[in-house]
Amino acid sequence: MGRYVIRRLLQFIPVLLGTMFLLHYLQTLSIQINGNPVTALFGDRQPPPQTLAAITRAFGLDDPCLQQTGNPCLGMFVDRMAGYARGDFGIDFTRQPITRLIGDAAPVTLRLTLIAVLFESLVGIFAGVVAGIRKNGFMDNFIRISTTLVISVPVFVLGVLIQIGSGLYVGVWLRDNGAPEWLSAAFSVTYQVDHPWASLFVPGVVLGAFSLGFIARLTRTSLIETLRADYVRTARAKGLSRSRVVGIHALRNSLIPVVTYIGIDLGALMGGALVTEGIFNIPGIGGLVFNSVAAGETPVIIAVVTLLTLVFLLASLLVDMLYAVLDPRIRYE
Amino acid sequence: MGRRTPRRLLVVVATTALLTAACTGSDSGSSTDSGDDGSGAPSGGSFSIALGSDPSFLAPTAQCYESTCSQVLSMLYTGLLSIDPETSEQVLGDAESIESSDSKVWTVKLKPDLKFHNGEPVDAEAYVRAWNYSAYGPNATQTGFFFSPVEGYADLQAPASGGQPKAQEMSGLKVIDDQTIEITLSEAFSQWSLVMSYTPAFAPLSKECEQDIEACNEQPIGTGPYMMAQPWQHNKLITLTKWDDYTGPNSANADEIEVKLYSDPKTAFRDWQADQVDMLDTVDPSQVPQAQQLAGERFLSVDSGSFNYLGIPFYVEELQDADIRRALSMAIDRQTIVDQVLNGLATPAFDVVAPFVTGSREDACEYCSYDPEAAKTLYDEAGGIEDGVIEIWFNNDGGHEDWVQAVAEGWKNVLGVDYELQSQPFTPYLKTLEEEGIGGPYRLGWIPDYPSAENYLDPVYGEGSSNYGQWAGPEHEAFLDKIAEADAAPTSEAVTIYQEAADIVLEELPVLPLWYGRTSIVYAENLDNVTYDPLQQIKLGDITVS
Repeated sequence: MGRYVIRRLLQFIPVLLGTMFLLHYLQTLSIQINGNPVTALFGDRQPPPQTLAAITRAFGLDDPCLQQTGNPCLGMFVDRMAGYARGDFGIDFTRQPITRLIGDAAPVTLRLTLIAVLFESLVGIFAGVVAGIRKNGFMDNFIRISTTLVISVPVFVLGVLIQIGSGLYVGVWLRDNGAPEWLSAAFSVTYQVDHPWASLFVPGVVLGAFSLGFIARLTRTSLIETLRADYVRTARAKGLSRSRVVGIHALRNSLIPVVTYIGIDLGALMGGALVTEGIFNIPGIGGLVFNSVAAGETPVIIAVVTLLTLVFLLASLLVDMLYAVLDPRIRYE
Repeated sequence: MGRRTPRRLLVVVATTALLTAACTGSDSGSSTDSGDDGSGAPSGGSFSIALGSDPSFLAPTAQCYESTCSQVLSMLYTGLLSIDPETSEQVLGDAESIESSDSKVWTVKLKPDLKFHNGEPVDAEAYVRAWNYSAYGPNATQTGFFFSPVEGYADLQAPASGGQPKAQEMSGLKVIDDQTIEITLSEAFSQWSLVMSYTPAFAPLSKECEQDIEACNEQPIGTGPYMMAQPWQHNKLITLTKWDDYTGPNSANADEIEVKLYSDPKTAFRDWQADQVDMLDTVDPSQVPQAQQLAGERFLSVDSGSFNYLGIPFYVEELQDADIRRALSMAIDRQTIVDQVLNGLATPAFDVVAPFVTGSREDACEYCSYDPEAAKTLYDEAGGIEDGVIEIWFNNDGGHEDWVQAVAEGWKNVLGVDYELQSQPFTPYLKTLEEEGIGGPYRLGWIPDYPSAENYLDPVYGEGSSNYGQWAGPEHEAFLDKIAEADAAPTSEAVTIYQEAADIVLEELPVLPLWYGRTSIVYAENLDNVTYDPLQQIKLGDITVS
């Protein structure tokens, strides 16, 4: 197991380097084609050439290779990697160190992701099991229809609807009727600095809703298949109780595709929280990426997307290791 | 459109209303956190305001060149002077007097015993320190160029060939004594005192702040009626607390102002509906009708000071004929577009100078009235546009599509010219403008830095400025001569000469004036005395909480 993990970790290095180079190249191309992003800081005004030159220099965007379309600017890439090695991730256009920006945003997104993953796995797996053991029964149909609905409504529509319903009606009603502050904060329109967990509850539910549908259906299909397996019949024949057969013997094996999905989803949620974070004004990673792309903040984009890549890689490693836990037949050596 | 709005980038955020019409019924009652000092007390209490983005910088103030940071800084700093938008009179802040006999050498006398929030004296040194820091090229400040008229500014810029600048201090700045600064400009400039009214560019710098600018950015050391008792929580919150030792003239009625930072004004509006925030600095255009209905008299639509226009690229041959430009201008039905496309959030322009500035006129522009017949006659007499197709250029990330389309349809109906809409995102759009690659009228806007007619003329049509259209020729020479003449004239006479310069622009139409921008504010029932000034924005210190 140990050697397997080390080998996997070593494989991260070329993937990360490749990602960073690709991002770097895309960004240099964007500057070469679209022009100097510093000009946009001045809006409709044409800044005096000296001012433009001084600011461009301060952000290290004065390299002549940025004038040559197609040039990969390897010198800038090497400088950037050297900076990363020293722990220097650069600054954004407001001269905030990028480590600080990520340090501020990441905990918020982590909390949001945690709430979303907990919600989607607990509710999703439960719904999947209920549907799976009573195939084509009332609950199965009910869950199929409701998950289809949730999957088919785009997140920005669902988010705004829930925001209006929970924030403008439930939240205001709770506050007017003297509910404790944490409870009304859980149904607030936006993220509240004073309630870093409670006010992320509704956004977390919105974020997890989409995956919930998938998890429920994956669990259902997988469980139905497993229940037909020989060893399940054997277990039943031994006279084990129904709940033990489903809960311990069948479910554990059915969870392998579900765990894979949740693992991949973890990475997707970290980056894909963009829309949800925007709707609920949550100062997380999604907002950081969105703003940085809009402003052409190359150093921020590269740092954050590299970080997200790392999260993806770690999540998939974790998933692979969980396989061994769930299915005793799988061994890594 | 989550990005902060550069001061000049006129972002009319895209109008995608998402089911917001469904939500009514929340009354914006009194804020839960308001002080309980009883009925209609003029001061005390607290309120919150939503701003549409995280400020770019709070220190050094010279980096602040957009509306969010200047809104906050106008509370943290007094400024040398401000200009009353109603009367156009100078209102002195830190300055006791600002005088010049020849518009070239200016003497600024400061009031005695002024203090920073940390107790340091606000003296001549503190101002000169800030100005030299700002102008020094390697510091790469965004508003450093405000000092370009000052003698010795060029010596502080790094030479194009590389290397360090020649000097660290402008030779034109002299500290005469603790309270007196003498500013020598390289040429006479009648508007200089107005230039100094843009507070972020001219605010003083404390020693403590100079030593650790980064710490100061998190918790600025200002001079104004409010201070920051807690550090800036980026993208979340700035808390402004009344500074008890303030001796200056600016008012501070509320004890505390919470500045809540949003990334989207639409979200802020829903928070306002749910009573989580008392006031919005901007209402998204898509939510304006709803805001009007919910807030009634507590919805304000105010002049933002911006001037929107379609620029003319003079390198496009068919637009070089002034009569074609006049015909195009007369074929724009400004009032109808403002009413029907822009929700009334603009005022049709009849000058190139916005109404709140001294020297603006209501009827200066002969060719800005909608006159389809005259336009058609003039257009045909001038021979029209050769291939019968006109290109219209705009940036497609600022919600401009609708009105550009309306203008284009107007031209098609009135002049019988086909159109082609060309759009790009903002950064490449600026690059195309820069490289003279525009094939027809292009959208741009202007927000002034200081309330002078000069600021609407020289930066837009002068040399080395936003004259993207490359207006040139004898009329342009005459325009530049007028500007130079007005710059050198005594302040009292300058306005008339600037108007003559504006007349040349309005006759030649290097840009087609469209409208002056308006911005909208909503606030809660417990707030009163909400006023807006195109330069200082919402006067938060004046607001009373009941």
